[in-house]
Amino acid sequence: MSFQSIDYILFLLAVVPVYWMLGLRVQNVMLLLVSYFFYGYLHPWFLVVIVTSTLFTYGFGTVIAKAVKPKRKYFLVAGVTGNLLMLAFFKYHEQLLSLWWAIAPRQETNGVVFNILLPMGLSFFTFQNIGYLIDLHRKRITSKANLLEFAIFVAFFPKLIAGPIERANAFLPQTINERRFSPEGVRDGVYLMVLGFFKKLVIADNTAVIAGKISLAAEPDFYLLWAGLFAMAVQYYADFSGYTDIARGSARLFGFKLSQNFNHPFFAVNPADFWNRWHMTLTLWFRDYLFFPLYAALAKQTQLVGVQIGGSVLVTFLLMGLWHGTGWNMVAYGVYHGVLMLTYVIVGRAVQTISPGFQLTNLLRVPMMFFFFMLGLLIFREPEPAVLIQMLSLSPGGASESEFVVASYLWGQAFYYSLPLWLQPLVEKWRQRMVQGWIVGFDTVVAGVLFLSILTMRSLHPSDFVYHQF
Amino acid sequence: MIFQGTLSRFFLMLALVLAIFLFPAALSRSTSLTQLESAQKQLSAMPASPYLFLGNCALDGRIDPNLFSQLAGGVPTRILTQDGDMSVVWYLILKNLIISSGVRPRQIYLFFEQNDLTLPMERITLPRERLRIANFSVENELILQQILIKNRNFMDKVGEWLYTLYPVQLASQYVADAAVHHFGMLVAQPELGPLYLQKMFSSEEPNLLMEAQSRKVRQMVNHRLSPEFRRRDSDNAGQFIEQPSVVVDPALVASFDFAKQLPKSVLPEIIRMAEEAGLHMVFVHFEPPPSIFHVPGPPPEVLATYKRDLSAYVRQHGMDFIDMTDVPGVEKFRHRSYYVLMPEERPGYTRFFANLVAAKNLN
Repeated sequence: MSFQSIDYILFLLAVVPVYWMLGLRVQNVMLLLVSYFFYGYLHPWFLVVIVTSTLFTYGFGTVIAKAVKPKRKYFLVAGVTGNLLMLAFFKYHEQLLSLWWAIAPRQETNGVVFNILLPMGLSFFTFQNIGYLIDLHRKRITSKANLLEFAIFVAFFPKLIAGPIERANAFLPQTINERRFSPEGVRDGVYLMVLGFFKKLVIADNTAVIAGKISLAAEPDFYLLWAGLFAMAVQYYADFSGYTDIARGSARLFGFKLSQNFNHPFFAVNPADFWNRWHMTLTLWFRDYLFFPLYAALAKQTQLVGVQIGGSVLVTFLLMGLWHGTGWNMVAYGVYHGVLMLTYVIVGRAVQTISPGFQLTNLLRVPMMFFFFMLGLLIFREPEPAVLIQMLSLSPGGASESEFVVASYLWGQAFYYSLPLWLQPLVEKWRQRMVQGWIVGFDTVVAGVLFLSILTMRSLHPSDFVYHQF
Repeated sequence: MIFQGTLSRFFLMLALVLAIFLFPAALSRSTSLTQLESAQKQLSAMPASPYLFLGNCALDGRIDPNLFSQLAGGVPTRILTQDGDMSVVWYLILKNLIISSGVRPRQIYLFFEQNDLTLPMERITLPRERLRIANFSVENELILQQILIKNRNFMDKVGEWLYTLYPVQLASQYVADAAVHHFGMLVAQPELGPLYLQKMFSSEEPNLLMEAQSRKVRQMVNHRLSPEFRRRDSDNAGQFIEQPSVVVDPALVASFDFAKQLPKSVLPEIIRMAEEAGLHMVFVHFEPPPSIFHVPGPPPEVLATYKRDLSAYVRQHGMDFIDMTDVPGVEKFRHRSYYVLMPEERPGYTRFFANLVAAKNLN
């Protein structure tokens, strides 16, 4: 079941009232059943995968919690490896098989294709499971969950398909402790969902048409290429953050609070700031479970700070790229962001050494970072290295007048749709300054205007959520 | 139920949430589009025995009515449909516009693709499509209602209820489209800014320069982004590319079962009304899009059977059928999208079609 279908709204309308009439234990049973229904509605086969993953991780989690050193570590390695193998089997089997055939060619099996369906959301819940096992090993999980509560942690439908990637410490207490019905919670949930649907149906779906058509155009000139990348940046942000808003809003209807995943990334002033604002739960996951351990491991091996930081940053970003897929462009995307981050660190330090306290104005830093973000999207989008190089070599001088008019027109349209994203922080600031009593009325008016805009401005070419494919 | 606070808080919150969803329902649609009556008057005013064409954007991109008229020795020619029209609108136009206006067309050419003639539920749900249906309907469209009920499932009913609840959706798509278009125009042609401002504050007729520029930019954009100018490596260009469908959808094949689809469609009514009114119709199944577009379709033998049955049915009722797929030379016309030709192909196709009907003695 997809968030943007009427089926989903009917599903919520049917489930939420019943849910609040039940006691905690039955609520939990119901949550698990409706989550499995939601997932099985996409494809019944997915249920086998998620149940297996849940039982496997819970089993290893129980063993890790009880075991003593050094066995704890062995169980952790086995549990994490099992989860990664499952992810690799479904997500990377084609690439792994190609690699295997390249190493050990056998005529009778070479080129055989296995049509294995990738269970939606597998990357997201596998990462959650790995985080759970590591946190157990580090003794950072304070709440002891039973199998039912853990199964909800894995399968809770609002976050199942594309996150946010939750931490056990933040989520499990919500499944264990009693949840109280709060009219304000339901109201906030509805507001968030309306905002999410607006971002998806009005902004993302309309800019997707522009971005999609330009990405298909043969030999675009400089202006058309960048108009397309601008539209793509708007589409991806509105699509993914819209999804997250709907997920968070839906969770609020059930008394759950999910993590924030975006914080106005278009206003990031440097690469570090960007990754603190974009897909925040994934960034934090990589920081806590990969970057820090890797940095610590490298620090034990070498005294060279450059190697410690450089190695851990590059490996972390490379794996973040590979998380999205296995094409060379995903590798390049990860390396690009790693290099960008390191460049920022090195240049920043050099500038501070030469001129302590120097800082560019945000009026320059924000557009610069936005440009680097769009450049990253170009790498992400292009599977052909030759095409990428050709596009990177385009110069503003070589464009024809008609191409400039076409590019300006399309950029203008994409900018028109993106306006709410640029204005959102201002509106939020304004809201924060309001008297408490006015905020409720203000939110209602904003949500009403957004809902009217959904009715009147939604795209006639709806598309699936971009992050469903990861 | 566990309430954290008082019942009044609950009702206050409920009222606020309801306010979000109910206030757009209070806004009714407003439209200045041509209504049925004025369209009937215009048609009645036409000289006797015109050629009338029904179809959608694919027809509009193929036939230039003025050129066709010249080629037909000055016989007035009109296209009565517009982009997106499908069988339900064709049925309504025949019933409430052509027959009701009393005009006696020399010939009615109905251009359609694939199995559109027997798919009544196609293109009836979007705001524009609903508006077209509303504009050509009279008060009690009983037959249409019966046909729609036959084909309607639960989700269609929910969709219809939402349109009844929010009629503002019907007209507003035009407003939204116009807003984004004008914004794009202002960025692309900032020199038009003063004219836009002038137009905003006056009720005068649209400025001709603005209209001409607007059309020109739209054409430039459509042309630049047309499939003709797609990347050669587009099959490898990632997620945006339309990939060929490798699996034939059984539901798609079933929709080409003519005998089963006919009773659920508006075609029998179209034929019955035309027969009763003494009108002659030519059903034109125009050519499928070139294979580069990877348009999902039924296996060739299924399509051939469908066309054979359809052709037999309309001929049995004294109407004519032209299968453009069978006509040599039609493949030379270049496509802008799946079914729409490049604008510059329009005169050539009009001549091609005029020669064809002359050769078949259908004029």
